[in-house]
Amino acid sequence: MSMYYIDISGQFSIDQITQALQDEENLFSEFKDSTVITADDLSVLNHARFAECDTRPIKPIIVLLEGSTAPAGTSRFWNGTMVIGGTSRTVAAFR
Amino acid sequence: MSRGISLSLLVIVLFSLFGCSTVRDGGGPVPSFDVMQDLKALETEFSSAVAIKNVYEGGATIEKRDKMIAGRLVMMNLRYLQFIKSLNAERQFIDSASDVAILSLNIAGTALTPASTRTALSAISATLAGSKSAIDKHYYYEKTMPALIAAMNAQRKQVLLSILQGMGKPLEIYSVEQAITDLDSYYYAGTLFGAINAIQVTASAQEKNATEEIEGITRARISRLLSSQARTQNKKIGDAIEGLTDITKDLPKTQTLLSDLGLNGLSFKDLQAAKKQLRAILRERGHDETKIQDLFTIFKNNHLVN
Repeated sequence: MSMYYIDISGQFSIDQITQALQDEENLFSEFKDSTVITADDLSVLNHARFAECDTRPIKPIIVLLEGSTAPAGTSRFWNGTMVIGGTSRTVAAFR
Repeated sequence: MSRGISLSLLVIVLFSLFGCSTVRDGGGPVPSFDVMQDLKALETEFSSAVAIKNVYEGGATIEKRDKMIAGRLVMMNLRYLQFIKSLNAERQFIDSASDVAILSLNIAGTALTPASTRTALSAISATLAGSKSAIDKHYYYEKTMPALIAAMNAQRKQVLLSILQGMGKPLEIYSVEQAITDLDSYYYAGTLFGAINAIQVTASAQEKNATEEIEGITRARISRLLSSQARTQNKKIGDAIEGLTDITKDLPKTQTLLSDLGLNGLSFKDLQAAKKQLRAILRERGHDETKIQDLFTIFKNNHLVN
């Protein structure tokens, strides 16, 4: 299973990050995890890792702030730090 | 085959089994026979089969070509065994080379006549197989030598594979000239220069792969938010790719689609491989609104989306 990375702007809102992750997963990929990096121009990015897949995920990914209630019918599969709206936050990913 | 030659063949095998182990152990008795002379005797035995001019005399045939290959393989394998033993090779490498030698002896036993030759070769084969256990593993060797011998063994097996695949095939498919070239490659694969070259080639390929992987990790694509139209188009393209499941009906369709996308569609003989390529294209182009529109149009022209 090949892995690749997508850099998501640290200025995005949490909904925009969720949308960006869902858009990527629509291309036959699956989100694995994310780390915070600083680009050459000093902008802060969410360095998201994806696995190439043969099928698209059945359930869409949803990212929420850590401590949020899991949406009905989903379970948490990852948590970590993301930069949201320019601020570092602990988030969780549900599916 | 004369009794003298049969004895010579046996002597070579005995040397390969016991003579070398004592030499490698440092201080065994010097063999009381001349190995080079014995190999010469073997060459005389095979000379008519391995001579290229004899292959062409009266017109080349599959049988004559295969006899030439079989004879040369035996000679090269026995000499190679002798060579790597002179390098103080570890037992596992000698075992590996012995296996190949046994295989070639068996092939020669099938390809060569008369029956007496076959019998003698089969006898060598059996003796060689049994001999491996007699080789003592305590000997000195250069630290780099095992790697070089491993590379030689691996390269030789690769070349041997194409030779074995060629044997028995019509001359139009596996010509005598190709066989001779492959035999030369087989010889070169069993030299230290060949081993060094193989290691360099492998290392270069590994470095290239690692470099590409590092670039893939460090050069991530920047995510842009898509318009709802582009998102819908990506989804429809994805649905269309997943919908390609019928090999009879969908493979030709997919091949045409790939050709329209600038690839050699007909080179995709397998629907799964074709779909994998389509997914890669979607992943590559699915971030750019213009590229998504173009991709969608091509899918639409092929009646895969609406």
